[in-house]
Amino acid sequence: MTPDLEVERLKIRFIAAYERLQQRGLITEEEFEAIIDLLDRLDEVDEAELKATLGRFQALKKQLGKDETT
Amino acid sequence: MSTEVVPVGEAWPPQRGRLSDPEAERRVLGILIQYPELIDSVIDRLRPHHFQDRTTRKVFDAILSLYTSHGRISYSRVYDQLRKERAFPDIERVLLELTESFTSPGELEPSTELLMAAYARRRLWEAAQAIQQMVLEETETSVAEYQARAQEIIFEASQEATGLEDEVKDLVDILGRCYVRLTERREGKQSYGLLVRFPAIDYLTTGFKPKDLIILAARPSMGKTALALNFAVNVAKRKIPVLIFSLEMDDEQIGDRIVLSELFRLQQTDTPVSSMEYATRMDDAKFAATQSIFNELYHLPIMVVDRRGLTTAEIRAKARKVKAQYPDLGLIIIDYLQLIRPPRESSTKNWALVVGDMVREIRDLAGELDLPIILLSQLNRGVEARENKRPVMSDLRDSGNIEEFADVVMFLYRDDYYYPERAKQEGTEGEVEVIIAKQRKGPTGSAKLRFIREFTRFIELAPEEAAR
Repeated sequence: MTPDLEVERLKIRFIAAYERLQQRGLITEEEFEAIIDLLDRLDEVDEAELKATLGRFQALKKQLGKDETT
Repeated sequence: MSTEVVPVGEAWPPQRGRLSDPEAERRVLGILIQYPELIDSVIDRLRPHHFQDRTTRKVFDAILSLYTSHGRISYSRVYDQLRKERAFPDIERVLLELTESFTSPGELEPSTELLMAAYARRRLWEAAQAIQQMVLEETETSVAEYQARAQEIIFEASQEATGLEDEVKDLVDILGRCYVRLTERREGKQSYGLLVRFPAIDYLTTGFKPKDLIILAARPSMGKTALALNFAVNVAKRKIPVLIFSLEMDDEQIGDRIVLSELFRLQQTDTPVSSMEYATRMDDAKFAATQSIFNELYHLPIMVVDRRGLTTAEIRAKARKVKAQYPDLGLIIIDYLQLIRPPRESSTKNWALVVGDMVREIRDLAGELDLPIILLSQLNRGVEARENKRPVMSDLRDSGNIEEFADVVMFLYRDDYYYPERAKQEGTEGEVEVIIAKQRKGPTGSAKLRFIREFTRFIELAPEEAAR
């Protein structure tokens, strides 16, 4: 598998994870769409923008991970 | 992996792998999403229904939606599209599998071919099921109708499965074929169209072209059938098969007419045979002369279907069958339009529309079989009410869109039919005007022939008569 496809697989997993957050009401539809848009344009965005956008949701994601294990 | 197969009927055969190719379907999608620049190479022939698997079909739908809305195509966008459409659960798993479905974009073309071939097989299988069901349910009234409908079903299935790949043709290819035909004509190997060996008509038409619908229309007794049969014999004498649908006369009447028109050739010999003699008794010498005409005609590749009340579907089915048997079939004659039975479902439709549909179907048949079809037609009585009784295009208007669908419209007009005294005085008895009122690929105009009524035979006029 090419590195490009590996990245695409990673994006799919990311989107699926954020979709679960959205389904639980932890992020809004607009926020979810912003994430999809960001991941889709990953080549064009710089690291700072990436951290700023995704960083806001990392805590939620970690929290969700804990919930799922307990 | 979600490879839910949509069952077609309950008796989906166990070897369904031959009727669908889930791997090829996934490969195509995986490549299209990863290499969206390749979509243009398949978008004109690939349709959602080509995908047997319901899930892959939904993914292709999503790709199409993005493509038609000029949206970016990527795994992220396809995910988003599928999510919004609530296409199916577990989008993540399906898309991850698509990323693993192919190894190189070079697999797109062969995989597309594979999935379309599976679709073609599926359509044929469904057609076979439909035919089986039709026969068991007795939906048609006669065996001929079953055969016609069965051919129709198979034809529709194979037409649809063939796809649209040949619709866009390169000018270089087109001109190449034109050039080959040009050189063949120049070398005398081939005429532009099918010559009917009446120089005055051939000069105007340069021969009837393949795929053309030629309407030969006239009021009764003008000689429509006779001229069409003369065309048929002249064409068949060059070993080009001709198929005649005679919805009025039976096969023996057709045979007698063909013999009679050839007996005319004996008029200048020591043993002329009159039509009366042919219909009654004749001496040995005349019988021998007539036998020689029979011997010449036996070899002509003319086929006759003389069943009354044929529908266009039945005509199409029989014509296809003959074309399959005689691939060089060169001409079809249908005598005549007003005797073709309209389909049952048309009883509530406007008559002109029904006739228009039938004419269009016959034109399509000419295109499909790649040969000219001469469709004889009656004209309405409006002609009789006019002072100048030469038919004009508007005389066809009550009969649907004939003029619109026809490539050539020919009318027959005999002055001596309406004004016998005048014709006698002017010496124009037996003269027939063949009026080319419409010709898509050539000029309009008229040619004159002589109609020898006794022998139902048309001949060329002498030059001084033609110049009158």
